[in-house]
Amino acid sequence: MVYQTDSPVLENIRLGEDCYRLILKAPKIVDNSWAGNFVHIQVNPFFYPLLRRAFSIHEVDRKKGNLEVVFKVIGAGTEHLSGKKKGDTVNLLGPLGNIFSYPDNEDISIMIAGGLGIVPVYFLTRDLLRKKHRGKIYFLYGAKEKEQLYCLSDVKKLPKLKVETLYSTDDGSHGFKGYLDMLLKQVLEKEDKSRVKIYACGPEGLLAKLSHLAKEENLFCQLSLEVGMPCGMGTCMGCVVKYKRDCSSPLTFKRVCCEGPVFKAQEVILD
Amino acid sequence: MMVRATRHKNIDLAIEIAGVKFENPVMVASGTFGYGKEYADLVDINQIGAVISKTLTVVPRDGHPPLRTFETPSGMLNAIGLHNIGVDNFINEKMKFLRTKKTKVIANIAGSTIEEYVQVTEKLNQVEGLHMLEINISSPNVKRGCMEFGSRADLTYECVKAVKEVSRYPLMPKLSPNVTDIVEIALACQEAGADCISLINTLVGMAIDWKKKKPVLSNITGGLSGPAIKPVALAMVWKVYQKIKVPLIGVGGIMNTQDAVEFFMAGASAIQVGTVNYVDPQASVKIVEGLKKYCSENKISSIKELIGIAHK
Repeated sequence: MVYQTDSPVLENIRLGEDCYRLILKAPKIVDNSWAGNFVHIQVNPFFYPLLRRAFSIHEVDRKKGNLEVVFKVIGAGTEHLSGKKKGDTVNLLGPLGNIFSYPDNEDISIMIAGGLGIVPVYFLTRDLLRKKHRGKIYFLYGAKEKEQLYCLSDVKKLPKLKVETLYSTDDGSHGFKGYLDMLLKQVLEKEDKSRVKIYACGPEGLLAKLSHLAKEENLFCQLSLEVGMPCGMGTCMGCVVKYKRDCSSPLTFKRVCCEGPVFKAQEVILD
Repeated sequence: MMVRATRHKNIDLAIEIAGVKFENPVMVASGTFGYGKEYADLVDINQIGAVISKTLTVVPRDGHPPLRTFETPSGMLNAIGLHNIGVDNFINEKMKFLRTKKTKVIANIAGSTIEEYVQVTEKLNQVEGLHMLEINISSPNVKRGCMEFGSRADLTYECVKAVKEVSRYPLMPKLSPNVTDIVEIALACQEAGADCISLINTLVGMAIDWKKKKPVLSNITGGLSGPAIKPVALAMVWKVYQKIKVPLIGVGGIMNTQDAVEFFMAGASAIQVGTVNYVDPQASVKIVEGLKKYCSENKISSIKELIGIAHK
C-alpha cells in the first residue's frame, strides 16, 4: 500500500557542510517501510522545483511513527528541503520501491556504505538488530575524507558485539586508506564466500566495481540504485537502468522506482 | 488523504464528446498515469473523466537507454521512446482493472508505419470496455512514426483516415506543437474523420550537461512538458478552436483548476492533466472538485457554458 501524506517536520539537523538529517512524522508510511524502500518528497507545493525528490529511508522509529532521511544539498530541490524547519509540513509518497532480501541467521552480511549510500544499508542493519538477527554483520563505511562520513555518529552507535564496523577514506583521514571495494576484498578473504550476502549503496563507480566483482566471484550482492525519478510509481518510465538477467538474456531496461531500487548486482549494467 | 467526491447541486460537469458520455471533462494524459492501477492506492479513479493509456504499439517496445528524463525550469524533458507493454498485454492484463471503473477508457496508439496503427486498432476493436482511441501522431522521440506523420498534413490525413476506416471507436488524434501551422494539421484530422482532437503533445527541447560537455538525454532531444508549456498549449487551442468544428481536448502544463478553466475558455471541451500527475497523483480529482466549486461560485450550471467563452 502506498500513502500520500502531509508530514510534519520534527527536526532538520545539519550534519556537516551541506548535509542534513530530516525527521518526519509519517506513521502509516513507517508501518509499511522496510530497508530499501524510499519516499518521494514534494519539496515545494508551488511546483518550483517541479518534481518530487526521492530519498531512501535512513531510519524509522516504529513506536513514534517517525522516519529519517539524510540528504546533501546538490540542487534546487535539496536546497529548498534544507530550509525546512520544525512545524513545516512536506507532502510524502511512500513507501515506494522494493526492499533488500533480508539475510538469514546463518548468513554473513556485509554492508557497503559509500558516502550517502549509507542510508538504505544503515536502515537494513538497524532493522536486523531490532529483529534480534543472530548472523554476523560487517558494516563498511567509506567516503572521500573523514568530514564526509556524515553519519559517523550513527555508525559508532551500532553495538560492537553484533556489528563489526570498518572505515575507509580515499585520503586515509579515517580508517583504511583506499576504496571500499578494496576493504571488501580484505573481508572476503577471511570469510566463507558461499555464506556472504553483500548489501551496497553508493556512488555509481563503486557499484559498477561491485557488480563486476559479484559476477567474477559469483557472490550474492544486492545494490540499491539512486537515479532521478519523476513519478516514483512506475508510470513515467523515466528512471530506467540497463538490465541483463544473464549473459544469454537480451539487454533490456528496468524501472528503478518500482522494479528496484534494489537489484542483484549481476543483473544491472552500470557504466 | 484521498480526495473524496463532493456534491454540488445543479452543477453539471458531464460532457458528451463524439457520442461518449464523460462524467466530467478531466482526463489523465497518456504516459502520465500508467494503466490506472498503479495509482489505485492514492486516487479514486471513478472520479476521473477518462484514463488514457500509455502509448500502445503492436509489439512491446524497450524504449531508449537512460537517461530519459531531466527536470528544467517549470518543466521536464522526456525521451522515453515509447517503452510499452504492447497492445496484447494491455488487452489481456490491464483492461480487466479498468473495466471495473466508472471512468471512460481511452487507448493511446502509435506505430512506425500506418499499417501498424491499423493493426493496433484492429486488436483493440476486440476489447470490451474501451471507449475511444487517441492517435499519437505527435511523440517527438522516435525516428519513425508519430511526429513523422503529425508534422505533415498529407501524412496526418492518411494516418487518421486509415485508422478511421477500421476503428469501431471514435478517434482523437493528438497534435504536435512542433509544426509551422497547427491549424493545417487539425484541419487534415477533421477531414480524415477525426471525432475530436487533443492538443498539444510535448515541445522538442534539449539539455546539455556542462560538466560532461554532452547532451543529458541519450536521445539528445526530448519532449518538454509541464507548466512551462501551458501558454503555448493555450494559444494553440485558441487558434485551432477558431477554425475547427470537432471538439478539442486541451492538454499542456495544466496544474490546477485555474489552468483548466483557462483551457475551457480558450475553446477546449475537455482537458487532460499530465506532468502534474507525477507531482500530485490526486491532481486530476482535485481539479474535478475545483471545477465544481468554480462553477458553483460563478453561477455556472454546466461546464459547457465555459467552452470558448473568451472568444465572445
